[in-house]
Amino acid sequence: MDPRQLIGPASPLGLPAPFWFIELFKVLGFTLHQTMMHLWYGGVPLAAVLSLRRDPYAVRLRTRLLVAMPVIVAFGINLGVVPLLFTQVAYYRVFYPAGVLMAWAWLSVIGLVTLAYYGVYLGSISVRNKWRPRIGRAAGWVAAALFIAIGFLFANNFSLMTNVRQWPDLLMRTSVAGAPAGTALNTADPTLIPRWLMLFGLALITTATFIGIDAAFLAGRERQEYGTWARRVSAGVGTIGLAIFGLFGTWYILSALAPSMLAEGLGKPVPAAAIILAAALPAVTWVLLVLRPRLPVRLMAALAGGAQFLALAANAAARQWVQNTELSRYLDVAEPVRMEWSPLILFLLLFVAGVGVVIWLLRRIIEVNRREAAAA
Amino acid sequence: ALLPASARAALAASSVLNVLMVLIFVFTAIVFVMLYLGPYRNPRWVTAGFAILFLALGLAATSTGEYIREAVRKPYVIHRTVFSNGTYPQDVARLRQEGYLEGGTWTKAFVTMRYPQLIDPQGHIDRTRFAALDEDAQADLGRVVFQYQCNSCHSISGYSGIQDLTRGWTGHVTRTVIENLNQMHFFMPPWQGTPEEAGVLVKYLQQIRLPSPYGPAALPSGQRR
Repeated sequence: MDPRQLIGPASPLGLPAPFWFIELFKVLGFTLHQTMMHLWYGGVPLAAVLSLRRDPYAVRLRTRLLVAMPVIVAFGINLGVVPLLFTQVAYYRVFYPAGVLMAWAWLSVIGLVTLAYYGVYLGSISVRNKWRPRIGRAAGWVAAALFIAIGFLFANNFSLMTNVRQWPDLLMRTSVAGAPAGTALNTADPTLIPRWLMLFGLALITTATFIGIDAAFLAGRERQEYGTWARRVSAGVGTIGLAIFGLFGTWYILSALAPSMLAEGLGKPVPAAAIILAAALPAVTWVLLVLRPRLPVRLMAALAGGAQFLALAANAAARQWVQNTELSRYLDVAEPVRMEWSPLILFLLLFVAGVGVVIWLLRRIIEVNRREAAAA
Repeated sequence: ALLPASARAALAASSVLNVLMVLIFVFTAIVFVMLYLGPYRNPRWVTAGFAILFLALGLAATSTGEYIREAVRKPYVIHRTVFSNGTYPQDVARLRQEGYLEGGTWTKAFVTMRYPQLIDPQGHIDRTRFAALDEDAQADLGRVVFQYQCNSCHSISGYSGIQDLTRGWTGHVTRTVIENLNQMHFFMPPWQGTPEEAGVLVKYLQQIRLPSPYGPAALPSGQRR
């Protein structure tokens, strides 16, 4: 059977905005979401590992990560709504069938995120108030495992969305009288594992960058030696992250991208720039974290942060190109547009206001930290 | 008067909904009385037990209201726009003409893969070929119709279970009910398939229905199956 038979019909409503606009905000939203999401994806497991160590700096770093984590998770989940909504608008014809086929796992994400969030809160309360350390440690490990599992489920749904060829087989294997039971997973897809772990590697590099920025800008109340130690840990975590990213990134490119597809992408300026920058910029971040050219610490941390943010943006843009290219085999995503101005204007106004509030909050945090450092 | 006529009719016809309507007012009143006497007038009364009871009553009021809302909006999920089984009223005539299995993305794909012998050279489901399938395969096809057209509201043996609802029905009765759904029960959507699809659905329902507690009714042999 032609798998395209399982793709739903195009909506008579058409797209509410031009496809380029939807793509732009999907990429922007995913970049912002990744920035925060990586910090819990890499940071909570790192905090769990640090809980095995007793030395005071490891305790301090774990405390700093866990105290910040509830705010980071809250930001990340909210920012995740943006790319998820734009994915649904752009790719509803494939996103929903994939979600239906793996409905139990996909919907379980809500419960798993809620539990992981509680775990983060317990861990945070435990280190901040020195409350029940064993429970705090256990909660940290559970939250770390849950976040990694959630990453696996997201990788499943987003790879299944473009793996249309697999749908008929999954439908026949997991349906009850033709109705999908929602028990499928995309585990037969050779791109699933590298895709999932490549992002984990990138998350570790982002976490390493955060540790460097935190030590340089926000750790005013910590001892001077803590900064040196934290930068060493940042370099170590960044190295492990880059190794994982390089290994699974190569595997992903070899398994997911046909040579002709890669050549086509590299032949066009925007996809070529996105692919090359997505592959190269994490290494630039690593150089700034590990080799530490003789520049002021804060400048170094800021440069590493900037390089990693651009790496995440390039990663989001490259993914967008891969998604479009993979789906172009099955459907034309550029549907007729019927502009809906009122929700669009409201979205843009709220988006600008939201970004403004976040910037104001970050500035307040840095100001408070500076005052505390000066007073110490 | 704010409710649609179908919702008012459902409330008038169902004794369960009447009982629940009373309960929702009772639960809501208790919640407000507790709110006034507890947190407002006597904050010290708010113990863990008080809070859990307060939460439980709040949930009971909300879920009772939700149950009533789900019941009275039938046969629609969005009034006059989408039926409770997900089809549009304007599609009913087409589905009766072209076939319910043919009209659904997933049903068509499933039938194409499971029963390729039913597919004609143009790639459509040929309903005239249903009769060539054996009895079990026809019932299996009926199960597909049931899953998509009926299962939104009816389980097999649990909530609103079809086995109990069709207990003791003959094939003739089952077919009559299917083909006149919205006339037999104003809160059900109209039948949305071809006569051949009604036939396979009857075969499936006859296969799973439970016997009447009084045994087979004394009907003319032509009406009994």
